[in-house]
Amino acid sequence: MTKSSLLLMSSLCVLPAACGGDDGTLVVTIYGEEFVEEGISADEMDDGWAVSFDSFVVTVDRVEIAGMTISGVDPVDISTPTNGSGQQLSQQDVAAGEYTDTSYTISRVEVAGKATKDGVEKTFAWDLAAPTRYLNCETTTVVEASAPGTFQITVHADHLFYDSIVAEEPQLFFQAFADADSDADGSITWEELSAQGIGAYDPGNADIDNLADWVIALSQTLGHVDGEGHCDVEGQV
Amino acid sequence: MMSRIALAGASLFWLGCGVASEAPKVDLEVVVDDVGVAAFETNLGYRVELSGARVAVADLVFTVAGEVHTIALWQRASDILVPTAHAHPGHSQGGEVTGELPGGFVIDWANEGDRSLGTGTLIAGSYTAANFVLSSGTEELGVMPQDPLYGHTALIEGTAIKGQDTVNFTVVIDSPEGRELIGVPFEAEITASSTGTIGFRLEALDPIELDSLFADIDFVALDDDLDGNVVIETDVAAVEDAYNEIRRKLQTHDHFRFVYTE
Repeated sequence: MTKSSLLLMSSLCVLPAACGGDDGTLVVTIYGEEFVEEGISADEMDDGWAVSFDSFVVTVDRVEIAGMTISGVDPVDISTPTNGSGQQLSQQDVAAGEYTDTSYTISRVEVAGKATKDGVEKTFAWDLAAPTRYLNCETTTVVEASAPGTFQITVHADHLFYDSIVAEEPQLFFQAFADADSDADGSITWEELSAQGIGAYDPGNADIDNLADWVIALSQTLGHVDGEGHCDVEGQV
Repeated sequence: MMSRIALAGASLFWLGCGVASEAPKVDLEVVVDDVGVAAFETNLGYRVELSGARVAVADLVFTVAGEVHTIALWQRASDILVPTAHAHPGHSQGGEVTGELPGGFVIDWANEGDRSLGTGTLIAGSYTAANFVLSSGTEELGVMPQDPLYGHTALIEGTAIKGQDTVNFTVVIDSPEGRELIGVPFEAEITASSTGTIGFRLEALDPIELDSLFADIDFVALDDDLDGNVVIETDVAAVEDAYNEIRRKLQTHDHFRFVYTE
């Protein structure tokens, strides 16, 4: 279990559903699904590239749930296989009940990996330091005295390869990143991304004109809860 | 399709002291506003005149501000009227939908000024923005298969003049199916006694940033056969960058506006 510190546990019970009952256990986890742990296959991508991650380090902070705030969580490499369970960030005793109104921050994502297609390999190692607050998350975490409740921060790594920030059903492409390797040394650097326009990608109303800013923007869409649950998003917190 | 707003008759509008009354709503005509397609000059010195500016759009909705105290009041009424879209990452500019004009339209901003699009229904309030869907030309919308707009989102035609050079251009834009354009400016105080019209404007030249739909487009350079005609469309390598630039601009809220006139 990674180190965590409980900075604040409210003495007030803020959710009526959690009041007056027995104590239970609340577990907070983070999971990158198969896309992070096993990679994104060429079949999953829309341009035939296959992507895998050597590391996918996520820094989580200010997890707010059950009237408490969990901060100081160590960065976690979620590329480590977990057989679907994800990795534990915190475990706390809380009053049994149903908890909503959850939120958390992803303050940094550091990804390293490679993409392959037709015998060509491109590597990447990008530091995506774009603090993003995920709040009003669509989930209810149930903690019972007899059974622990789990709040899972789910990271959707495929979003990094979306071709649109606003489409309901974006496609997954790597080709633009591969093309950004201007010195053709097989490594796609941050400087090369910064020098490459976004081509046919759709940034909606955002003022984005290079691939570095593009992938930063996409990194702010990674966070979900309990699988497919959405949250509202506030960038640059 | 039955209008969601039509359900408003059964809704309640909550006043500050807890007294409930019926939510005030008004019907306002929505018309094509052609002010924004007058001739303009691009950053590369081309004077552009549009002879056609056809865009397929659908399902106009109008939104009130996202301030917490305002939403708290409005949400009680508007949640009953129109489901609030959940803010998926990236969809954070939507506001709260409290007005609408459903349906599909093909609008030619260069030739259809003052055309009525229909009657929108809005709950009285302080409006800040509007959203709509960029669709495509279909027979259902009166676009026949031989029409160059058929199956496409926008067809923009005109002339770009710079010095002694004149280029006739045609731009054909394809947006993804269901591509919603969010956060179009719509600053209006709508009250129960409002009787004006809402103008739907395409602004070829963004009046705020003075950035045009054709910024950075060098029409002469694109005319590689020097015949004075350029077609900018998808999947043509020679015009790919220009196509992407224009499509990106057309798909932002910078080049559309709704204007209320009492």
